[in-house]
Amino acid sequence: MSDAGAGAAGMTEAAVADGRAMAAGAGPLLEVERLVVHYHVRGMGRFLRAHETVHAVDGVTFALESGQTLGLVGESGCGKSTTGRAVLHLEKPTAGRVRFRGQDLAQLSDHDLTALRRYMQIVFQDPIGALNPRHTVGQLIGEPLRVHDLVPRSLRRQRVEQLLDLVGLPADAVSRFPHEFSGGQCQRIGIARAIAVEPSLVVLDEPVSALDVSVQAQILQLLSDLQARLGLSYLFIAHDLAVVGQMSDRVAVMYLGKIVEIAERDSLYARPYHPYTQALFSAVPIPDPRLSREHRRVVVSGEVPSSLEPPSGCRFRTRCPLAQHRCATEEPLLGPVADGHFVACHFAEEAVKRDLFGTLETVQLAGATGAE
Amino acid sequence: MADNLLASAGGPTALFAQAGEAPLLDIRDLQVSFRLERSTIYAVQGFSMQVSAGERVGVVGESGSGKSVSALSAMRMVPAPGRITGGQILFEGRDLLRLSSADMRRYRGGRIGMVPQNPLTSLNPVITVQAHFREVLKLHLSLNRHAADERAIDLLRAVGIPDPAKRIREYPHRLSGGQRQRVIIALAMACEPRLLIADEPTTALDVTIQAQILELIDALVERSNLGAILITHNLGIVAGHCDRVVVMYAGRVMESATVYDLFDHPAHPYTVGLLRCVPRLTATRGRVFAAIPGQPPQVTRLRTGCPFAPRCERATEKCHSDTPPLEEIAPGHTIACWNPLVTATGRVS
Repeated sequence: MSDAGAGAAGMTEAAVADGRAMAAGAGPLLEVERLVVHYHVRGMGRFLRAHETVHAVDGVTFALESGQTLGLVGESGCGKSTTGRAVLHLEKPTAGRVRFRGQDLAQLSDHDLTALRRYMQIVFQDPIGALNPRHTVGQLIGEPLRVHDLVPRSLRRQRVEQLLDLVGLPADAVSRFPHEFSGGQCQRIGIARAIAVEPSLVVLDEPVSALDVSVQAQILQLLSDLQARLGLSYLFIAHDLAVVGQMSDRVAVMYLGKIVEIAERDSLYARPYHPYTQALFSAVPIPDPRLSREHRRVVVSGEVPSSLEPPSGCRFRTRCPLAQHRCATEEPLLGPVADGHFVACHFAEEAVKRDLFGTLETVQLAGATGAE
Repeated sequence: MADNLLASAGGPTALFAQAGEAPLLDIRDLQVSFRLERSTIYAVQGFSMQVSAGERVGVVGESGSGKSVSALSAMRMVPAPGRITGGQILFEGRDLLRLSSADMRRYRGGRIGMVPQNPLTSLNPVITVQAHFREVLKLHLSLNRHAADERAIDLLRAVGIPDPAKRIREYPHRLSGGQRQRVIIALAMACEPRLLIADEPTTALDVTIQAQILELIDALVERSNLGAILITHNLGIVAGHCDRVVVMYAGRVMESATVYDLFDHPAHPYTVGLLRCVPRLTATRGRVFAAIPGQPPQVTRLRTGCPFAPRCERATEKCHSDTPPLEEIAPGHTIACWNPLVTATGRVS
C-alpha cells in the first residue's frame, strides 16, 4: 500500500478486463490513473472567440486502500475538489481512468454507474447549501434509501432514526427542516445521508472548513468514529494541512492540477520535500506565540498562476526559489525519495537540504516543544 | 516608501487633541442589539477593550460571538437594524458615540482605517482602483485628482502591488483576491489612520497569500505606530500576529490577556477548550479529537449566568444563575469566570 503513487500506473489492461471478478480486498478500493479534467471555456465577443482550456486536473494518479484515508490538500484552484468529483464521475474526466473495486467507471452504463454509486458517496463543504431547505430531515436522509431501494418503506423511518443516532442527532430531528439546525448539525445530516446507503468510499470535500473550531473537532471525531465502526475509506479533501494531518493515513499535495508530493502522513509531515509543500507548511499559522515569532519563517512570494495557461515544465517554478532552466523545459515526474514517499521535483534533495522556507526547522521545533 | 506614506498632507491631524498616556481606543461596556420583527438579538452584551498606539489586539471568537459587531461599532458601522444601546467608545479621548454623523464621517476611513473580510466584494466593481483612492483622498485630505493618483501609486507600491502606475487604472475584477486585499489595505492606510480595524482580513484567502497579507499588516503597524484590531477566528493568527487578545463568547468578553499569558496560562475554561480544539501540524493521525460539546448559544434572550455554562465541564450552579464579572486575576489578565483554572498558589494550566 505504500507505493500508491506508482502502483496504480502499473495496472495492466488484463486487470481491467477481469475487474468485475476482483473482490474488494484483492486490490486497492480506488485507483485513479492519469486523471485529467479540462474545462473548455469560450472567450467573449468577436475577437476573443478562441477557445481556452482550464487545466483543472492534469494527470493525477493515486490509490486508496480499503479502510484508509487519503488526504488531498492544496490551495484553491489546485484541482482537489474537481478530483474528488471526477472520482465519483460527477464530473466526466477528460482522460484517465477511475477504478472502483477494480471496475472502470467509464465503461459502466448509466444504470450500472448509478447502482455502483451506492458504494461511493460524497459530503460537501457547505453543510446548509447541500440540503434541500424544503425537505424534512427525514426526507433528506430517507432519499438515498428510497433511490437505492435499500429499506422497505415501512422500515424507513426506523432506519432514519438509527442513522440520526449514529451521527449524534436526536430522533425528533426527523420532522424538522434544515434551517432549524446549526452548521455543525447540518453537516451531521449530510454525513447521515452519505452513510445511509452503507458506502465503502466517502469523498469528504472540505467537510469542516465552514465550521467553527469547537464544532469542527466534533465532526472530525464523528467521521473518525464512523470510519472505525463502518470500515469506511475516505478521500479527505481540505486546504488545512493541520486538519488533513489529523485525519489521513496518506497525503497528496496538489498544485495547479498536479500532485507534487504524495507520502505516508508521518513521512510527509516530518520531512516535506517539494518546495511547494514546504511553502505550504511554512504558511500555516502556528498556535504558539513563541514558536511563530522567534523562528521567523519565510513566506513564499507570488500567487498561483492561471490554470488557463499553466507554466511549462514544473508548475511551481514561477514561485520557486530553486527554479532553474531545467524546471521550465522538463516536467518533473513523481519519483521516490523515501519509502512510499514520492516527489515531483528535479531538486528535491536540495530543497530539503536548503530548507527554503524554514519549514523543517519549525516542524522539528514544534515536534520537540509541542508534544501536547 | 514608508516615509512617503507618512509625509503628512497636513489637514486633519491638528484637529485632534493629543491623547497623551490614555489608550488610543478605549471601548467601555459596549452594548449592541439587533431588533428584529419577532425577536431581539443581543449581539454584544458588555464589551470592553483598549488599544494603544503600536499595539495589535486580536479579538477571537466563534461565529455569532459578537467579535465583528464589537469592532465595527468602533467605527459606528453596525449594520441595520443593529443599534448601539450603551457604553462608550473613546478614541483619542473623544466619545465617538456623541459625535454627529458628519463628524463621525471624518474619522471613518480617516483616523480609523478598516479592512473588511471579503476582498472580493469590498471594492466597487464598476469603478477603477484609481477612483476608489480619489474618493477617499478628496474627502479626507482634499487632494485633487493628480495628487490623489500620485499618492495612490505610492500607497500601492508600499503594499506590494507590482507596476502600480498601470494597475491603478484597472477595475477590481482584474485583480486576484490577494491583490484586491492589498488594494483595500492601501485604501485603509491612505489617510494615515491611527487605528486599523481588520475584520477577518485573510479568511477568504489561501494560506500562502494569508501569510503575505499578515506580514504586510504587521509591517504597516510597526512603521506607522498604528493601533490595530485584528478580528479572527484563527488562534494561529493570533499567536503570530497579535500582542494582546480578547476572547469573546456569546457577546461577552470571556478572557483578555497578553498573547503569551493567554497561550501559557489560559484561565477561562472556554479559552482552554478553544486552544485544545485548534488543529496542529504536530498532532499525529488522530482517533480522539478534543472538542467542546454542544453548540454556541443563540443570543436572542438576555439571560443571567455565564453564557458558556451549558457547555462547560467546570460549571456549578452559580454559573447558571449569576453572571460572572470581568475581573483582573493578574496584571493585564482579566477573565469572567466563577471557576477559573487558577489555584490559590497561582496559575495552573
